[in-house]
Amino acid sequence: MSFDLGVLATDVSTIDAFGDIASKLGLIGFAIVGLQSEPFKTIKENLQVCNRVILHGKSIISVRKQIDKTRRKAMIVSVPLRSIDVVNWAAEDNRVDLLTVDPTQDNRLRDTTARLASTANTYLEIQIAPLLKSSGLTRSKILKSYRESVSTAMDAGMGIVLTSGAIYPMGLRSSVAMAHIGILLGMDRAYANCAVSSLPMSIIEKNMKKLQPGFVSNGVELLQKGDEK
Amino acid sequence: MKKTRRRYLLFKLHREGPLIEEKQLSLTIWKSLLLLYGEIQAADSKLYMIDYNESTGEGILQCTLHSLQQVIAAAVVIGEINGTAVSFEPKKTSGTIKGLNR
Repeated sequence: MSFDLGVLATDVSTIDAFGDIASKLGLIGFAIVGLQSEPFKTIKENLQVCNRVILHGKSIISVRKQIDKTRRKAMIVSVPLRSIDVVNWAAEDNRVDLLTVDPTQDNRLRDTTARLASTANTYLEIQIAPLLKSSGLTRSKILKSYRESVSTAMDAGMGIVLTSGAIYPMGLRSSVAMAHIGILLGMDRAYANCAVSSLPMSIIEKNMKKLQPGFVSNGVELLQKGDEK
Repeated sequence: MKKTRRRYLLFKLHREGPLIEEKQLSLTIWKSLLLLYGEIQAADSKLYMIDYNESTGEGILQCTLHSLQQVIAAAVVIGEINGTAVSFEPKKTSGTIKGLNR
């Protein structure tokens, strides 16, 4: 039972095709970037689709503006690992769920960022799609980047989430397949299973609570309004 | 010579497009293993396709116990075979073929 938090489909019409393959692979849902207005909906029996937002701002101010507008509309909010200022801010912010490793960029995950993220329950996201599309030297460089990031995150106690990053339905993988990629990236078996199954589920459950109408902040909930009896 | 312990892997190959032949699949997994882990590991894996149903995509691979994780990782990172997008799903591993059917 697993939930893929990183589907990067570009066309609404492909959601059903993603749903078919996801069901065959035993997934119970996936998060898709910007193709639906609701935070989550059920498209099939036992299959949920969540809305995900990627914050691409170059400065803290622009990212902060984006997150204020989108947090209540999205189940998952992620920030790519780029500028240090933005990444360190995002690592500490409880509204950001994932820091995504971008293997095409030189920016790596720093120890300090990983330690900040571990205290705020912000997770490192590794997308496997670049590994499927490349080979030879290019793939070796991607593996280097991913393995270094995984090692840094594990040392700092930062959680890691493996996602497909799929842009077409066949880019999805079953939870067992993803766990084996996790082992390839330097995780032990238990950690890899956690990165594929329990951590994504815990993020979804936590954010489901946040999206309830009465939610104010962690531990603070609106039980009754003034005019209600 | 010390006897090597074998493992059998039951898998399903999901595809979007034409049928994939057994030989094509076997060769692609072998090449992926070679690229990812090198010539020595690929040779030591003793990889062999025991069975494969082209229409359902289900099959059984044989390899050594030592190389099982590497064979699965190499198969899982295959994105396409001859232009057909595929997704390799490992289903079950066992020390005997009989064990896969239990």
